[in-house]
This record gives sequence, structure tokens and C-alpha cells, in this order.
Amino acid sequence: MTVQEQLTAAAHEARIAVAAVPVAPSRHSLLAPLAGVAALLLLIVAGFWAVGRSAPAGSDAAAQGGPAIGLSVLDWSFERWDGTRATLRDHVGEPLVVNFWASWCPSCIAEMSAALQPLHEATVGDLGVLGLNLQDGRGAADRLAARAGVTYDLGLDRPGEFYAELGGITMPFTVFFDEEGAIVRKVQGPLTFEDLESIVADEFGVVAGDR
Amino acid sequence: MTDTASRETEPIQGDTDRPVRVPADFDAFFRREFRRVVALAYALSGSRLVAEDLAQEAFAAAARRWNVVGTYDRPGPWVRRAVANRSVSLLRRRSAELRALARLRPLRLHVQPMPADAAGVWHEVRRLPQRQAQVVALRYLEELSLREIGEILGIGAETARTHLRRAHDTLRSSLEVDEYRTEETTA
Repeated sequence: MTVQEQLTAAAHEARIAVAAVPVAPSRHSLLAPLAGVAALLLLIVAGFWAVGRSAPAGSDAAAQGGPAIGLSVLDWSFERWDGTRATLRDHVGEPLVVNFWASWCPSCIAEMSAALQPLHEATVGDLGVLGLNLQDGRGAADRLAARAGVTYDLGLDRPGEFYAELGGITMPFTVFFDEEGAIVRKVQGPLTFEDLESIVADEFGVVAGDR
Repeated sequence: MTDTASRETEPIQGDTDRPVRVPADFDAFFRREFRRVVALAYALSGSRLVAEDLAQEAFAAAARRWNVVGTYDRPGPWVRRAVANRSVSLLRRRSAELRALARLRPLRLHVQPMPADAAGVWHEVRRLPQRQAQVVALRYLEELSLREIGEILGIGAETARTHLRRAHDTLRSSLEVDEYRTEETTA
């Protein structure tokens, strides 16, 4: 190979290595440098705590940046849209799709209206869908949810505790719980309706085909 | 969904009391350019642990100066220059800073390692003089013209061409490329 060919190939590999990087939510990423280190430190402390609590040091799960698959966070509480507190345990008994979103994340909003809402409509009674909003003001979140036509359950994870605990590193981020409350799948980045249809069929045997 | 207008006017309410406003056009710029700038930082710093930090620092700096940087025809060169300069200067004081950054990032290993042969090529690129390494990275990773490279680095296109030629010459021997023999053996 010529030197130019070797450089071209090496550049291709560098791009592929970074193509695996989920694009970080821009405003979220910029919060730390712009708004001070407090939120970042909180996240790091929470992250250390989560990893130490849920996975042995050096395990794959720790390396991937989240708790082990199968960890229950059922007893963590979050705020529902109506202001009451709830836990994921309230959803035990049905498979549950938990999706993290924010109004500053365009792909989250697109995913909500084009994938999650249709999934919800096609699987009512068989599957729960819960959207947890990260970091928004309530007003912004409310308006975006209305604009996306969302009728499934919504809650607020404003400090990002669930997000950090579950190993979220990009937005949107979706976690699939089985009917016993065990985590069976995590997906970083946007999903289409077809992706969701395939995952819930594989993991839960829930058919969402006929919309 | 288009929510540009609302995103432009609604502040983020995070854990802090200080709302942060990021203009919508910066948001689009970030989304369009971030990955490529991470790749540039990765190639020039040799560290996947710090590549994303370097890129984020550059974008955060651009956001802080967006009233100026955002008015440029192409703000892309601005962040690329910031990353190219910082990636190379990091090499000179790397060990302590790399260790400190790596300790702070136990939860984030987004960038995958490169295969050994590609990593070896970039290792040789980083051993080149700073300007030559920057020109090579911008040429091959970003596939930019010599004029564009010159614009980013603040040098003339002819100077960029000279740096590129010298880099090729050095790499031809450091990568042990014998182009004639390679052609014969593959024929």
C-alpha cells in the first residue's frame, strides 16, 4: 500500500471508532462547563455509587458505564405528571418500556411521536410505556409532550438519577423491563417503531404489528 | 418534529438555579460536527479517553463565544483549529493530565479502540512535527482541500502543501512503505 492508501485506511478506522460514539445530547453535555461543576460531580458520585453497588469492579457492565443487566431499580421513586410520586414497582406485572427524553433533544421528540406513541397505541393492555423527562422545566416538557401527541405515562427524572443509575450515556435512552421488573435490554439512541416492534416481540412476545 | 423555535427560547432548568441558553443554530452545528471533531481529536491525541473531552471543550468554548464564532461563514474551522492545537499541545504535558481526565471518566468509554495497524499509522503521524501532523489529520480525516486546511491552521495553501509533502516523505520511511516493491508483489 502507498502511504496515502495507509493514511486513508487509518482515517477510515478512526472515523469508525468514533462512529460508535452516540452523539451526546448537546445541551446536556454543555451543562457541565457552562453551568458549573456541581451537576457533574453529582453525576460522578452517583455513577461511582451505582457501579459499586451493582457490578463488580472491572466487569463488562462497569466498563459499559452502567449497572448490571438485571439490576432492579424498582423502588426508586419519580414524580408523575400529576405531581404524585410513583415507583417502577407500580408497573410490575406487565412488560415496561422506559424512555428518557428531553425537550432539547429533537430525536427524542421524533421518537416519541413516531415510535413510542404508536407502540403504546398498538399494545395497550399488554405493555406499559413510561417516558421519563430529564432536566426540563415542567412547562417546556408539558408543551413538547402535547405537541408529540403523547398519551402514555410520563414522569420527571429531573436530577437524572434514574438515567445515571440505568447507565444512560446519550439521548434518547430506552430501557426494557420484563413483567417481573428485571432489565432485559437497554438501547442508547433513537429507535424506530419497527425496532420497538421487533424488541417487544423478541423479549416479551408482545405483537404490535397491526396498528 | 420541529421544535427549533421553542428550544431557542426555553432555558434548561437543570440542578442549578442558573438557566443555560444555547442558541438553536449552535445546537444544529454541534450535532452536525461533533463526531468528526472527536475523530480529529482522537487521531491527533492518540487517546480515546480524552478525545471527547477535547472536542467538548472546543465546542463549549465556541458556545461561550457564539455571538462571534456563530457569525463566521463556517464555524467548523474555528473548533477544528481549537482541537488541532490542543490535541498536539496535550502530547507535551500528557501523562498527568491524561491520568487525571481518565480518573474523572470511569463511566464513559464511548470511543472504540482502533485496530492495531490503523493505530500504528496514527502513532507515526503524531511523531511528525506538529504542523505536519495537523495537516495530515485534516487532509485524510476531514478530506479537506489544502486551501481549507490553510484556513483552519492560519497558514497558506502552499505552506500546507509543503507540510503534507514532507509528512508523506517521512511516513514513507517510518511506515516502511516501498511503493515500487508493493506494486510488484501485488501485481
